[in-house]
Amino acid sequence: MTDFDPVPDQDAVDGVRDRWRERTDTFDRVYDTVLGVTESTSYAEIASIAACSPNAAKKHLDRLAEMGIVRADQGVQPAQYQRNDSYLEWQEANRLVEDRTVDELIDRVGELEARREEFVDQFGTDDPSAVSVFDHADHERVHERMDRLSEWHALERDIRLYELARQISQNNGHLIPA
Amino acid sequence: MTAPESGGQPTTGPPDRRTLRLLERQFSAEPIVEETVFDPNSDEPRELRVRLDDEQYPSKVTAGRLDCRWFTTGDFSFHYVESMASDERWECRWDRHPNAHNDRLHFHQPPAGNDTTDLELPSLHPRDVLSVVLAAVETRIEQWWDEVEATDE
Repeated sequence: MTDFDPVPDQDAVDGVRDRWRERTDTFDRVYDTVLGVTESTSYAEIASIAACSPNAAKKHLDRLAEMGIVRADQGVQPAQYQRNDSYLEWQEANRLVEDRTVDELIDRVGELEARREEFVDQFGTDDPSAVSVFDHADHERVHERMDRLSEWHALERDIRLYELARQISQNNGHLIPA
Repeated sequence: MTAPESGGQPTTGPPDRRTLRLLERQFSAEPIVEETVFDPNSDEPRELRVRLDDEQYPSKVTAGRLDCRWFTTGDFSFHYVESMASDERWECRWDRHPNAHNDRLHFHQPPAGNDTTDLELPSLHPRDVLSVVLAAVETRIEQWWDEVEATDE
């Protein structure tokens, strides 16, 4: 069989992008694109990923910014945008609230905190960012260590998210008590 | 996207939930995809498992899948695995993470994924990375059928 190319020719990549364009409208593509944008990015660049005109991208991005899903950096020219992580984290916390009681949320935090203790014991620190992934020269070992550290980072993030969910749940759906 | 530097070493950070959900929506709309599942579950997603439609492959290949991870640091891993009727595996991986041997962005070569080479991608946006990975897998499947036809003749 012929050699495998990790970056196939442009026609093949365009084929996948064309399918996306055919099944979505411009707003959907701008929305999909900006959800993957974590750094302030010009609307022209977002338009190029979303396969639409810069003007159309800007119109939809401004709308998404009004809705709170996107953060607009209007101070710069041309205007730049990125997803609004605080809004999206609140949305994630609300997902957790949907099917759970306050007690269930508190229990889950307890379980996750117990698992966190195992990492603290193993690495001898309570800060996952303080651990190096390079203690092992072997690439596969670096991967394994990265997986462990990422799991620890994920746990820390989950604990904070469940805590936020508990707060929302205890305040009857509000972030702050009525 | 810059990795957080701590103790002088970059780390990969927690999974990027928003990007994992974005990838899930994109993959599940693809004709080649049979099923998408979050591991361990949708509330605490670590990895997106994409099961490809086995009808798309010649009978030598019994299953194809893509395991996808994405981190808040912009690091990622797309692990493609074909399971063969002969019990063998054919696998490769598009990876972006700090390491001492290759560029942050690198590729684990098939058939075993042990050998790594540096990789260049036109864009690191998840939607663009997905397009490249999916196009590479689709090209691979076309090569499979070409080979089957060539053997039959």
